[in-house]
Amino acid sequence: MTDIPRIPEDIEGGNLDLPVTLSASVLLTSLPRDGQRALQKAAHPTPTKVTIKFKAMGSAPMLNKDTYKIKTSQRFENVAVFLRSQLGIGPADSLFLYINFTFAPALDENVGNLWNCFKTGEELIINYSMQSAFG
Amino acid sequence: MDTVALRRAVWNGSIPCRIELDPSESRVFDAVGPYFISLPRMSYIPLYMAEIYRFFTPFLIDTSVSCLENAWLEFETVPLKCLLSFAEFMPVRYDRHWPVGVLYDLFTGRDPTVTSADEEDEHSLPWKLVLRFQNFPIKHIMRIDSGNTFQGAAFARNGHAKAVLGLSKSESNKLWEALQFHNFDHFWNINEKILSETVAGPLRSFSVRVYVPSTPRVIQQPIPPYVDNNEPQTVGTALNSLLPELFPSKRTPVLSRPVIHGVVISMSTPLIELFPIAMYPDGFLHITLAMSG
Repeated sequence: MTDIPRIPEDIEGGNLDLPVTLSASVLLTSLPRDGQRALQKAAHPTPTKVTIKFKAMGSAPMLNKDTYKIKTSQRFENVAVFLRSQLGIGPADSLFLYINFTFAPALDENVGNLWNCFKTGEELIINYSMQSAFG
Repeated sequence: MDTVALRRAVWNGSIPCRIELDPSESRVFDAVGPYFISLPRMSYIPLYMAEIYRFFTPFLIDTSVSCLENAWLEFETVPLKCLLSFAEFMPVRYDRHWPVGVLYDLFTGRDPTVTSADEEDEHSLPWKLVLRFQNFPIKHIMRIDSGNTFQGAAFARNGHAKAVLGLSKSESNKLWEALQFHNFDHFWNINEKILSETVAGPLRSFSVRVYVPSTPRVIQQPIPPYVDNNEPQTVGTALNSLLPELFPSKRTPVLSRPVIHGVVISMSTPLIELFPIAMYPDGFLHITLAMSG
């Protein structure tokens, strides 16, 4: 399992996190210290690595390597950017990603959540297509 | 209260909102008055956008730019996450939106046990939202080009997909209309069917989303209905396994208290009883947290 390549983090360095409202963030400063510490820990869990597998649909080109490890803390956008670079397609070319042939996750969805909810066996299967499917 | 009465209480929960047009979008700057609207907690903002838009249309600088498709609401400069703009809001996609109640509880960080008299002004109702059009927050409210409308796609949820996909076309239309018109009886008529099929079949898991306060972290995980020793899974045991940092105990809320539909929920509540009452239309139990001060 150790020879499975990894998807690098923050390929474009873009921060997709939804900003926190002022009302919600002032809560932090008024918390007792143990609450603050617990919240910090909860906000940044130690990421683990999970396996994702790309599957081409329709006329989409196949990948030489289709199985990758990815940190659970990553955003789904990183998966999309990585796949684009592997396929060597430009930013203007369309690429559609689906989970389990059914739905397209939001770009700011957390990979760990997707893996937890939609994995097949121990792999999260991501179907990709150059044309939109299921429409 | 029986199940139906509790469901109705949850269904009737609403947030009074005061919506202002961003002055930079207005031809009369800040001279346009606010629009007041009561948004059901169980509903979704895009369903009410046309109504809000209609009120502000006469005051918009250029309606070709400030069109309904570009409209979004924000609270304290943070866009209310809808994932999809109004134009793409379709029956099959509503599970990708954040429900009004979740947005309110999360974005205000309001502690439901604090009475309004103790609250500072900024936290009091109505909820003050701003309508905007420029610089559409594309990363937080996804827009899909028209060629990409994968109908029937969205309900891939553990334990739920089958029942939901098994709905007839007219049933899924009814479910959608029930949400559009906020009709309790129509909604539960269909939703009961989804639930009963899920519950009657081998119930594998509840879909739970937990929002970590003051951070963008959301934990979404299927939760089995029973724990190892065949005891029913409670709010406390679920949170203890999902977020041990904030819930070191399975029974006592030490650092943080679970909030569902704006109400603090007891840690000992079994999910198997809570879920059929408190689930949102998207089939998830959304839990926000109130930190203990």
